[in-house]
Amino acid sequence: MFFLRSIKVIIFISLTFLVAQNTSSINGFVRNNANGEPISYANVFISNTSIGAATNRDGYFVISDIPLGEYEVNVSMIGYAVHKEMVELFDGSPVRLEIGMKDQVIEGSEVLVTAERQKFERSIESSQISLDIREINSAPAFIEPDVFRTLQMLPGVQTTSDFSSALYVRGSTPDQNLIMLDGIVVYNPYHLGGIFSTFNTDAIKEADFHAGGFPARHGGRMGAILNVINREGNTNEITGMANISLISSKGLLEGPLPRWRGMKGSWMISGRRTYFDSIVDALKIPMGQKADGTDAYFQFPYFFYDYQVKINLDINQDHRITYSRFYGDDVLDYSWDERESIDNANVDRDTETGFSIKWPWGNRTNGLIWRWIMSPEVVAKTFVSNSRYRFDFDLGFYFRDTYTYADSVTAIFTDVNWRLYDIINDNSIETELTWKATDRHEITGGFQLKSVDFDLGEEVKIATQDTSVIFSPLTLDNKTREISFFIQDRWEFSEKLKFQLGIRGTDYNLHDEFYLDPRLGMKYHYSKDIALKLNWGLYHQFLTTANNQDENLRLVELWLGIPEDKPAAISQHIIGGLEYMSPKNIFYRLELYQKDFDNLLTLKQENQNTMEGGESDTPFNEFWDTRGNSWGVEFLLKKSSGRLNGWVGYTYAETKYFTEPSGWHHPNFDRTHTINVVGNIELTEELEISTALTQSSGNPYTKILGRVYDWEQNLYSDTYWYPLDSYIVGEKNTERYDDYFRIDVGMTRKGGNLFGLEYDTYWQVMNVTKHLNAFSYAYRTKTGMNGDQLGVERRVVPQFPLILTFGVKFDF
Amino acid sequence: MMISIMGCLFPTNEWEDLESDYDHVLNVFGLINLDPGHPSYVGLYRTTDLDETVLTLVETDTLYWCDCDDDECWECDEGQDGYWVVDSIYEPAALIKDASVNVIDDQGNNFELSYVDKITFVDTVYFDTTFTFYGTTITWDTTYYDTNDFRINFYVDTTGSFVPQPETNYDLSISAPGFDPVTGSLMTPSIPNIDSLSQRGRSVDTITANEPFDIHWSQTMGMGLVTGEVIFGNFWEDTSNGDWCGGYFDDFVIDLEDDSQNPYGITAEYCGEEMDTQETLDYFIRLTAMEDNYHEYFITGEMGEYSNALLNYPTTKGRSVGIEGGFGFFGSIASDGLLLKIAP
Repeated sequence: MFFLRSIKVIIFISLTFLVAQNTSSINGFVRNNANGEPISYANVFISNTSIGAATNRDGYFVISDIPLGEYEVNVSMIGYAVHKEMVELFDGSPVRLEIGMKDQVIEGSEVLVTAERQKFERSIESSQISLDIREINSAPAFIEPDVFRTLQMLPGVQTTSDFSSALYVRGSTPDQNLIMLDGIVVYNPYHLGGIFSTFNTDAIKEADFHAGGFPARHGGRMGAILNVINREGNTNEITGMANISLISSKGLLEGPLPRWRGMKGSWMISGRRTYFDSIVDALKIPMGQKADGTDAYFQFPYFFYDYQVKINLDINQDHRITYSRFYGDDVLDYSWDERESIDNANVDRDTETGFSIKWPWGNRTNGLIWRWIMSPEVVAKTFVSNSRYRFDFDLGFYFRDTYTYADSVTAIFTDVNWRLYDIINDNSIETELTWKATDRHEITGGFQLKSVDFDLGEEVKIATQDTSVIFSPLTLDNKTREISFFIQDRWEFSEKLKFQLGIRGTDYNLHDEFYLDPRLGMKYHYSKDIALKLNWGLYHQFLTTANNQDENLRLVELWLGIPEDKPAAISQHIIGGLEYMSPKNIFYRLELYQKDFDNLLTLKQENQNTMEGGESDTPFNEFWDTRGNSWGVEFLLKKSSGRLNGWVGYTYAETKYFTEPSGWHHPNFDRTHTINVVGNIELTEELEISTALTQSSGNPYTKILGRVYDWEQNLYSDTYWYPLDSYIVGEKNTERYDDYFRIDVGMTRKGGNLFGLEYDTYWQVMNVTKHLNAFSYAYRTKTGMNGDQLGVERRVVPQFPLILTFGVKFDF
Repeated sequence: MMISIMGCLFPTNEWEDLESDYDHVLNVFGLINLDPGHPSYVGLYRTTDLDETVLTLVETDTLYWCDCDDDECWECDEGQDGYWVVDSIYEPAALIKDASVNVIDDQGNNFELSYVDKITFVDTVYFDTTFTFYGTTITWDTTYYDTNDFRINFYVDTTGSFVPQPETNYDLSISAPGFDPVTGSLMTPSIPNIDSLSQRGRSVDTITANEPFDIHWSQTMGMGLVTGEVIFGNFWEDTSNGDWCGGYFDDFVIDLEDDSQNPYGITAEYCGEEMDTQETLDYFIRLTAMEDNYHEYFITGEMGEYSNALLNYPTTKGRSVGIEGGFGFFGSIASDGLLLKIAP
């Protein structure tokens, strides 16, 4: 405590030299009165003056340099009644306010303070958008709301297919995105091979998304930043909700912590599990008998689950400790066995054979966040976190013969076990210090120490009655450590011109080079409603995934640290934008971006297994050096408030990568034109209709031109070679599938009541028009009656057909 | 009902024929083999369109009568005595049969290779058709003469004048009507020589299956591929085949010029402590020297350019190694082998 007090005193003394003695400051938090959740971007100002501030994501605000006197503090935000409070500043001591705002339904014609306008006025960063839970839920999704699916509807975000919720942002692949939950990195945030994201929307408060040009505060990735913020938990009473959809059940409980010695807080716990496996188990579909003679039933061997916990503890008004935990796993667990007994005069023989797959994969994060308001102008946040991603595929076979003689028993067995695993263990500690130095300067600095263990391997175990062998054909483990420092200054040069200047430096333990990432942002307010923005930055990345770049469906990601002999990947972002916030709070944004990539690694495909010089090639550590670029124009119109809300987005994008064997080519996620429309209308207080429309260019694919013989060799005692009928492919990804088109429609009926329990029902129809969107093509060679091999034909492998889903959501 | 519902949900989706639109090129397999008794030859094809027949039935060959009493004849219907096993012979539509193919050595000697579609062997086949009918033994004429065609469809030297030499430059010249000419060149490798195999530091003529051993060779140019095989009298009938383990190893490549690799240690497949059989078998170790083209085509090879699980075929952008004007390769090998024994 002495140490903390000393720091506080030093900072306070320093600040007193900077701040005039005849002024003071007002700071504090703005929260929702009903549940205690912080309100971001609320407008806090002193009545009859132009002095004011907006709350940050924690609901915190500070207004400095206020002359001593008595003032009326006015707090406003759409959806809440205006809060007014008298404050007297009679000496230099800062005044702390805890403001609770009451919900209030406001008619649409009123001039409102919206979060959108606050963000428009404050933000210097380009390409940033925050989606609150209402917006996340507004887009019809696959079976249940999904933050990633909603983000895919934003300009600049692309996907490979309906089967993937992965985010391809402005030419960057998903491994270039920094995905965080409450500030803690999550490596593979998907369930079911990417069909669902791992984040349960019931627990989410908002999602903060940067498509590019993000400031020095964030580093280590060069694509996009997504920080999903969970609810803090109700500080007033215990409440909850439950949600039952076609595939899963979800539940959430939240409430206050018991008060103790002036400390208070809140907690939130939510969970989700799919239950198709349980339904199939309950149906008891017969499947013969097990080895032990009991009845066997058909099993659906897959399910996924996740849960999130968040606990906030306000030790006093200056210190808050937050614990955040996420755990999510997909589990494929299947086993089969068979038993046969043959009884002879001299010997009885029992034969057992079996097969099993155990395949869990998923994430676990634990984080402790300490927020310390050192002075009204200085806030420190320290994160200590662990994030583990685990993919562990275990395939086993066994065969066991037991011979029982009159006087002895002999067993012969063979157990074969094959395991492929990728385990990432990320331990991080980071501190950021935000200092509102003057009215014009807000300086943020900090450091991050990140230690990551990558363990990718393959292991084979063979055991017989005589011996056992264990060997590892593939072992790729590396331990990386990044030490980063950053500092950035948000500088309001004038009312019209603002800058955000920053630099981030990283020491990566496998390289000698110290990497520097300068970041520049500029904003010019042409008028109150129109702003011009310009952002530039360099971004380094120190990890990659070893996945086939042509795969349409990515079940798992295999992560690796950038090895010693490969330079860190680098990207340059240049973004220019024009923003307009209409008086009716409709936000318009036009952005032009250009990104360059270098030192990317593309996994080599179909590596030959021939051993040369005794060294075996493996498919996981052979890469093509890759560079690339992307550019595009994006337009966004977003209306966040009112009975009709939603957005319209248009993207023109072009991405090209260069690898030695393929030359310059479009990656398979590149879509040239994309139009997205997301709309949500409250027809009545009880009935809401939502719709989402996407029309885009088709994804690229590589065309086959004809057929040719290739040859393989098989040199043993007889030397010979045999032809391999192969397709000749054209230039990589020069053809495109037909245009993609999909309309989804959703309906929510609110206000149901079942035995006093309030509930909403929702229905969703995906791909209403049954449009045939190509996931890929399937090819086959036609065969004549006499065995002649005729020509080749193909058929579209479709994406989502028309899908109808429904669910019920209870609040209690 | 479920199918009807699914049919309503899925959009209409039909198979569509594919057409090609590209210029065909010749597709060459050219091999100069220095091993005695192994021919050098050129296989010549063209690339084909997606809408054309690529494999055509050209003839059928009756092989043998399969008696339904025999366990191997598993295609019998109930009550059927047996059936004739017929081999259907297909020919690639891509075959080019009317080309002019020449190999020229560095002395300027020109060897014209001729197209040969098949080599015919005449087999004397005996069918045991003796049977007993109500106590009377009937013996039919049981000897047939069967022509056994071995189709090769290659261009070979039919004059016997082409005897390839080691460390010699050879050029390949192919001219086929309607196609761009194809040329190629290579330098044949040196004849490799396995000096010995050793185990526990001593030269041996019998390898113990469960211990590593070394291969010693005479230093020469180029790269060499080492293969090994345990030889059974008859793979299908030799009962020891099922009991045997050990001695197998993956092919590997050595630099024949690099004396630091000589001898090279081979750790063959490890076997259980006890093997059911105590039989000693033949063990054949081969060292195949490769010239550069062969090494590039078959060993360092092309990494796949594009993969799609739904293609059902491998893909290539069309490789040309050692030739110009078409796809394929022109390469050369020379081998040395050592036949010894392997003991459990």
